[in-house]
Amino acid sequence: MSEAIVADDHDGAATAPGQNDAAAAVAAASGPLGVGRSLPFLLALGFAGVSVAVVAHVTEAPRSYAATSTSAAIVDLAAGLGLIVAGAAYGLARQRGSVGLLSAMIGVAWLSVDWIGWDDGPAIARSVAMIVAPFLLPLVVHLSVAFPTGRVSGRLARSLVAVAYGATASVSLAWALLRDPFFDRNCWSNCTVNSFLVRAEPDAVRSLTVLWLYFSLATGVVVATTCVERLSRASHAARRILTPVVGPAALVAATQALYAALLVADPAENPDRGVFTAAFFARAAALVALAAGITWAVRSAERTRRSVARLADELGAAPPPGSLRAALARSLGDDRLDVAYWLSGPRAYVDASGQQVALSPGPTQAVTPIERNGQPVAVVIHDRSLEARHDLEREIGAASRLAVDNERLRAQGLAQLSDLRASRVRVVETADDTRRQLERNLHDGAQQRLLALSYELQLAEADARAAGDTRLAGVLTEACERAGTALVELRDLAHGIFPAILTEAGLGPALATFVDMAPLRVELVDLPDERLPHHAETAVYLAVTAAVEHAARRSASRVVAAFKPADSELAVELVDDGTGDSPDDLIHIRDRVGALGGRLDVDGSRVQVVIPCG
Amino acid sequence: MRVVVADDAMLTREGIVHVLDEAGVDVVAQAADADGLLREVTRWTPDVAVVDIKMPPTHTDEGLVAAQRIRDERPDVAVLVLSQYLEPSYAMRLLDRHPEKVGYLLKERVFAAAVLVDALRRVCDGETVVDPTIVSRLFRRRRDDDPLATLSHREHEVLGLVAEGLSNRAIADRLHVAGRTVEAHVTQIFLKLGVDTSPDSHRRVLAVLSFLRR
Repeated sequence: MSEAIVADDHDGAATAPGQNDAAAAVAAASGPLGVGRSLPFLLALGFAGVSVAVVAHVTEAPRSYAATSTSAAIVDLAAGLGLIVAGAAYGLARQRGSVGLLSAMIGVAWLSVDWIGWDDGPAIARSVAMIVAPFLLPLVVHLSVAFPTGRVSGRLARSLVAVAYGATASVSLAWALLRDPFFDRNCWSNCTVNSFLVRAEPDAVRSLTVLWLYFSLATGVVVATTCVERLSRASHAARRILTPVVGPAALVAATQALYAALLVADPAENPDRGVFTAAFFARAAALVALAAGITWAVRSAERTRRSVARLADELGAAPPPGSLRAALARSLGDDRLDVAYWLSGPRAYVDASGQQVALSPGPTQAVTPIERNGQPVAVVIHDRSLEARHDLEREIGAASRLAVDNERLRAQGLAQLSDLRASRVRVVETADDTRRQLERNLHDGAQQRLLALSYELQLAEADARAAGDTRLAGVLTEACERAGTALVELRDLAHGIFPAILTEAGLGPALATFVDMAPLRVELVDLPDERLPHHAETAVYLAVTAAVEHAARRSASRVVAAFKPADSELAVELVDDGTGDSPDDLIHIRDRVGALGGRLDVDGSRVQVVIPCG
Repeated sequence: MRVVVADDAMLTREGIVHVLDEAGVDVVAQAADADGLLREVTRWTPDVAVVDIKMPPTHTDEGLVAAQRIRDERPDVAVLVLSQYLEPSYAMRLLDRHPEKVGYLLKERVFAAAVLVDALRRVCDGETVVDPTIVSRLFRRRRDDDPLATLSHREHEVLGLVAEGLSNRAIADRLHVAGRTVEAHVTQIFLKLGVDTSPDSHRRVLAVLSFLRR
């Protein structure tokens, strides 16, 4: 059980599970606050130790159920000791809140009954035990609503707990002051001592006892019902955590109610009678189950811590992105759990793959931030019920510091990569747009002006000829021809910068024109008719033309470009019959294709291009 | 011959109008965009419309679209498309639906009055006009076992003129040979190349262009 308590590992390494004794457990918990925190548990453990001796001390007539038989003694001690030890483990295993303490105190209250029946024990001890024993009921009430957070939330729950404590304290106090066991007709465990007696009021005590029994009965029923209702309303992840403790708590409440009902029916309690013995075993068994449930909760929290810590160890094996999320979700039993990493650069949360995410926890979810040196590192979005039972921030922050950092760094890398990718796409798109614009400017500007100039030269030439100035006419004819040559060259230049037909008519007509002018025979196979996104068309066009020029440099006479359109991409395979060597001079095209998320591979006489078109 | 001229570039448009005026051609209207062109064509029913391929609003192929629309709706109006693009695809697209009474000419040619007026007359007469630069580029295209190599020099010449859209009679005039000789050449060429169309139809220009691009 003390395995659950692991020393705080500051270097993030998993802790060796060697510290299995209680001393180590206590030592581990004794930080600056440790002594104060462990003191009540040490006292409870001491009390439990003495209780064993008390039970073992056999008297002539049985004064407690534990004294009736060995099996009763075993069950009795198992319940009490179990609750105290489980409570100590829970309380010291870095679990916040009052659950551990409540468990230990239930154990103490349960064992107090044995002290009451300690025939030749100190009167004061027996009297104190009589005050303590009734508190079993309010403690169970408290635990059943406080688990797992340790806090009591909700007005109804708070008033239930307050009423239970208040009523028990009043009854207990009244008994202490007014009850003289000697006058108690039904007394059996202690018929002699009450150190606190002020004035014997047998009638009042009798009425009070009946009232108390009805109160116990009602409270037991209410608590059992509340527990069952709480379980049925809980989410899957929450139920996994609640059931081991809240379930037994319901049983404890129910058996307490049953016990009260028995006493209402027959105030003369007699441990020799089967019905009372059976009720005792039922009550004890319910408490053993509660102890087991609390132990399970400790173990399960520890398992989580370990599996997260193990993940940190396994990082050498480079788990795929999202492993931390998957490991946490698995360990915590919360399928909807999510981890988001904070990037201080873009000031945004990203998931493990580097995609930006908005933090939007559902109504039953909570967000636990993980901080390092006061700086946010990550957040875990998880089921609310996990919030208390697991000290998530510390567990993840300490045990898997490396895992968080690793995933975060990777997420950061991926986010930067995705930024870089977007920026490459923008660079290519900007370049395309610039070329397109340049072509348009040439067409609408320089080419038009040159056309006009050539027209004016022709007019001038005609005039010169009409005026009989043949020398000038000759000069102008020559100028006309030069203007014509300039026009042709300008047109070729503009087409080379960007073929307007690619934008206007698409890949087919543009490549057909390219093939018209190509220095070698190019065959286009299965060229798709439909239009693709602009930048994909441009990339395919430039890749094909560059690959054909590459083939020409390898002295090829023929290239076959086979197009293989798929759903979201276009693949082109170009095979040439060249034999010459050519350096891989397609690097700028590969960059461009890569920027769009495609690829270009050159393998001898084969060039393969894949361009995403989605 | 009555002509409507459509070009969004004023300089070019006025240049064309001037050339046509000088040549005695009657320019009945001018337009700066496709809508204006269609309006003027409806209003004047000219013999031929001279259309710039690039016009507002998108400056892509409005002229081509308008040309096809005119040919669709007004079979009596011929269309001559002017372009600065040496793009056989545009020419073939123009010829695809109505191979007769259409022409595709590079813009720089139109200031040579003789070329422009000749092209206008040819489209008016129901012929097809394909710019010779386009045809010569297609002839230079690289081919496997070039079938054009099986043609004689004269057949080569005739094929070029067929691709430019000339009728047999016009080819005969151009080459100073008899009409029957041209007919025989054309039949022979189509046989050699395996071009699958009647040697006399309007569609033969498109068939030859497609063959050259195959």
